[in-house]
Amino acid sequence: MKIAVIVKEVPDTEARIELRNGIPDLSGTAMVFNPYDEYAIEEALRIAERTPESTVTAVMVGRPASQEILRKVLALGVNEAVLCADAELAGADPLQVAQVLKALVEPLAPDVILGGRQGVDYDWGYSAIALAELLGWPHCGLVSKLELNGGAFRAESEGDDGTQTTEGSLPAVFTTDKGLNEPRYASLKGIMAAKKKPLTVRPLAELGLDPAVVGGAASAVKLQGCSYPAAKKGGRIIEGETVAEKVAVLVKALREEAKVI
Amino acid sequence: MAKILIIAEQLQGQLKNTVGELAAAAQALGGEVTGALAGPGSLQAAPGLGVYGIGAALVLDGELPRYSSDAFATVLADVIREVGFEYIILLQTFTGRDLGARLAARLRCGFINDVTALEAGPDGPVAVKPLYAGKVIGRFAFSGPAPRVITIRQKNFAPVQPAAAVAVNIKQLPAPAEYKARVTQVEQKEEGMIDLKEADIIITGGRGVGGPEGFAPLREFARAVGCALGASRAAVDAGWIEHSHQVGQTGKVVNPQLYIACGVSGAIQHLAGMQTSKVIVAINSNDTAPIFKLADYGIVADLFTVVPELQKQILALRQG
Repeated sequence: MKIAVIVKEVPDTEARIELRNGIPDLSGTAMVFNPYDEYAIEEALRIAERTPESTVTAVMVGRPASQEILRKVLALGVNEAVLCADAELAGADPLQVAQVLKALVEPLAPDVILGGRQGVDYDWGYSAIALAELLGWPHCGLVSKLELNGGAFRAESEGDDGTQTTEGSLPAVFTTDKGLNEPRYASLKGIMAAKKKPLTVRPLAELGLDPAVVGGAASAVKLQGCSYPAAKKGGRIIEGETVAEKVAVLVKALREEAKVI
Repeated sequence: MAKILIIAEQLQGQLKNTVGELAAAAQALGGEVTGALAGPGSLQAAPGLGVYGIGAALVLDGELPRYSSDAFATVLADVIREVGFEYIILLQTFTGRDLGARLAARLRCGFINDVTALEAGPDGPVAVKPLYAGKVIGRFAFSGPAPRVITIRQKNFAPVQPAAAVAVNIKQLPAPAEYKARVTQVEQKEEGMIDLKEADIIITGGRGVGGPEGFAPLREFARAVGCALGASRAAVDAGWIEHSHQVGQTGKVVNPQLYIACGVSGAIQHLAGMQTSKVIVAINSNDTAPIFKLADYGIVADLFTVVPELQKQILALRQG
C-alpha cells in the first residue's frame, strides 16, 4: 500500500502572532507541524505497519526552512518526504496549494492520502478536499475511525446529527480528526534514522506548474489585513459569605445586567 | 442583482432554523436569494423556506444516501453554473464545511470559510474570519471571478426571523449520476443532549472536575437547565469525556449567550473556542486561573458546591 500524508507547517499554538502592516509576520515565530496532521501521520504509519510492502510519503507545500519540520515527520517513521518550496507560492490560496499537492502526489500513485482536518493557522480545511476533487477521488472529512478492507473503505466521522459512516473505494482522501488514534512520539532511533531518509525539495518549475496559475499573485482569495480582537475587560469576582450568597448575586446579575437567563 | 444560493440544512424533512442565519448572510451581501436543500427529506422541508422570505428552492431528493460530498457537489455545481449564481453560502457545520469545500473545488473557485461577518468593501464584499485560534481577526476579499463559496460560523449573523410565508417555487434537481463516497449510516447522538454549536447556554468542565465522575453534576445541570455540556482539552485528553464535547481550537468553536466554565484554567487553545460567548462565567477554586481575566463574572469556590446551587437557583427563578 502506498500512502501519502499531507503535512502543513503552522505557528506553535502557544505563540503570539505579530502583525506587520496588518499582515501576520511569522519570521520570528516558532513553527510546528499542524496538530491535526499528527493524527494523519499516525494513521498512515499504522496502516503501513499492518499492510506488507507499504510506504509512507509526507508531502508538503512550504518554505525551504520547512525541511526541519519534515525531518521531525520522518523521525516518527515516515519513509520519505517531498517538499515544494517556492517563493512564488507566498499567499497562494488552498485551491492553488491543492494543485501543487496534486503534482507532488501523482508520481507516488498513492492508494490513500491522509491529511489533518484543517490547518490551525487559517482553519481553511480546503486543500485536502480540493485535492480529492482535482484527482476525481472520493474523500471523507473529519475521520475519527478508519477501516480499509481490500479496495474499500469505511470511515466514521462526527456529523451534524450523530456519528456517520461513509463508504467508498480506494484511492481516497481522508482528513483526520482528533480521536482517530493516539499519535506516537519520535524515538531516539527514529530521530537518528530520519537524518538519512530521502527528503526532496522541488521548485514549481520542476513540477511543471506555472506560477501565473498557482502563485500567490493569482490567488482567488486575498487577505486584506488583520487586527487583534478587542481585549475583553477584566471580569468581576463575585464576593459573598457563602456559596449560596455568591450564586444569588451571580444569578441576579445574569438576569438583570447580562439578561442571558 | 447578484444571484445568491444559500444551502440550508434539514433533518428528516424538518428545515433547521439555522436557515435564518444563512438568510441574514445573504442579506448582508444583497441580492436575489434561492435556497437549496440536498438529501432525503429535502422536498418536504423546502416549503419551510417561505417564512424566511425565500420564494425559490432547488431540491435534490429521492432515493439518495443521507449525504455524498462528491455526488451532491457535482449536482449543485452544475446548477450553479447553469443559473449563474455568484455567491453560495453554507453553514460552518460538518456538512456545510465539507460540501462547501468540495463544491468550491468542483467550481475551481475561491472559498472563504468560518466567516463571522460580511462587510462592504471597495471591490466587493469583505469576509471577516478569526485566524490563529482567534488571536487575530482576518479580513479577506475575493479576487477571482464568480462563483464564490462562503461558509458562515453559527450564531454570528443575527438570524432573519420567520414572518408571513411567501409561496416557494420548488425545482427538483436531477439525481446524481455517480457516488464516489456515500454516507451509509447515521447513529443518533446521546438522548436529550443539546448540540454545543446550537446551545444558548453551555456548561463546561475542565481539569478541575478531577475525573470522569466529576462531570456528573455538570451533566445533571445540563439536563435540568436544558443546556449543552462542554469540556476542555485537558479533560478530553485525560479520557474523562468524549472528544465530541471538546470546546477549543482542536474541538468545537461555540458562541452561546452564556458560557459557564467550571474548573477550566483558560488555556489559549480553549479560549479560541469560546471567547466570543456573550457572557462568560468562571467557577474555579484557584483565584489565579487565567480564565478569570476573560470572564465577565467569576466565583472563586469549589465547583462541586457552586454548580448544584446555581442549578437550584436558576430553576427557582424560572418557576418564578
